[in-house]
Amino acid sequence: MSALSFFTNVGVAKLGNIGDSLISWYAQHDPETASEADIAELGQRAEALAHRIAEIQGKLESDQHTVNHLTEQLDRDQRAAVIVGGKLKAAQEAGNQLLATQITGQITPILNEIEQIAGDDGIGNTSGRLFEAKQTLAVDTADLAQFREAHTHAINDWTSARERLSRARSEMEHAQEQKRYAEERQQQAQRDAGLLHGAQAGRTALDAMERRAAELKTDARAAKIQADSLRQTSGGDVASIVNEALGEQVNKTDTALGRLARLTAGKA
Amino acid sequence: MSLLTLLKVIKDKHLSANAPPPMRTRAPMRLSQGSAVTISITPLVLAESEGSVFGSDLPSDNKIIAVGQYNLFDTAYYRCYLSQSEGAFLHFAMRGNDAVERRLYRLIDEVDPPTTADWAFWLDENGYIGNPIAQTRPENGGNEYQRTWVPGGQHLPPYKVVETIVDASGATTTVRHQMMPYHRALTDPKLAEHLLVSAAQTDSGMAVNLWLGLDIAASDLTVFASADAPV
Repeated sequence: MSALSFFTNVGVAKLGNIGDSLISWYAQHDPETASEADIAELGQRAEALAHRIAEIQGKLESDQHTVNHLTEQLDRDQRAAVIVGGKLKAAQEAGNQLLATQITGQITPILNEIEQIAGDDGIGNTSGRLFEAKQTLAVDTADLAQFREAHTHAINDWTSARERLSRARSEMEHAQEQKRYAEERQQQAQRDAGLLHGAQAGRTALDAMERRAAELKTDARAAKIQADSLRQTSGGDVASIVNEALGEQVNKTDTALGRLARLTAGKA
Repeated sequence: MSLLTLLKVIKDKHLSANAPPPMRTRAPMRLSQGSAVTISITPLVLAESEGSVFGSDLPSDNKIIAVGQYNLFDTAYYRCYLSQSEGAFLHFAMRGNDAVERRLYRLIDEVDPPTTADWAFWLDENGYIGNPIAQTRPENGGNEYQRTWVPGGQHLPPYKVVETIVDASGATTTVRHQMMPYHRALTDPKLAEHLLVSAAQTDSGMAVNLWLGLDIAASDLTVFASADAPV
């Protein structure tokens, strides 16, 4: 049985305002999805129920005390009645009418009290103060059982809802932690990436320089080959120019080669 | 005037038709001057069957003709004097709202010592009131009773208290008691019979009173509070 159906179908008559309060809470909220404030409100209403239970327990103690007291009083009165009844019988058997009348005056209030306590049958099972006290005790005992069940419902829902909230809060905090770690990792990764990028750029520049150096060597080799070829295929003037150019190449390779290229191109 | 005579005077005054608006004492169970009370004879019958000499012939229906009050050992004592038995009273010892004693006492003896020597028998430093054991006359059972409050074989001086009695007319009288409580167990050890011995002095006289007492339950009393009972 759900808590709402319990409160609406079983407990409402006995629970009074507290029951109405709980019913209205269950009608408006689902313990599985209720907010923290709503759950706190359920807790407060369950606490009010606990107070009511304590009141009923106090009343039950009083009920039990009344039953015990009446039972004890009945026992005493019955024992006294037997004693006085014995005297009455003896007086009657002795024909002492005066004494019998006197004793009848004594026993009558005792018998009246027995009837008040235990009803006409003298045992308190159908009427009398003892019967009423037992009835009250039984009703209050049943009420207490219903209140306790209602309280158990409310407390269980309250506890599980709080646990759910607590778990959700814990998961949220865990997720936030994870997010923060992830962000830190990302930032670190970005910083790492920057360093890698810088290192890559340096490599590229080095490669370019090396490539440029290789090109220059190739150019130099080509120029030498070209020069050798010119030296072998041209006259003295040209050879001296080439030698001069090559001599300059030792000191100013780039400039001499440029001049050679210009000169060669002019000849070609 | 002895206490018994005083109570007779109080009773007569109470029955006067022209009594002034009376002062009332708030005693336990809404008892006060003018209250009616019915006392169940059940405890008397049961005690009698266990060897008590208190008797079960005390009239059940009474009015409260006067209420006495005194304090001893941080306990408030009340005596609600009954109309239908000379010198009988309902006794309550109250600590706060708790009744630590609730008894019915009936006067069984009043001794009027005629001489100083006779008074010394009761009240000198080894007098009868305060002895470890007290005994009643044979016609009252001749039983021995043990001192209730302080066990032991030594003599104790009697407790001195001043009882203020307000009668039904509102008049106040003081009684100076030098007293000692005693008791004896009955055949049912849960039951006891009490003996209270007091040299009671009023403005007009002094006598030694002996009361027998039985414990009663609140449910043994049916109280019909007077219309002017204190709330």
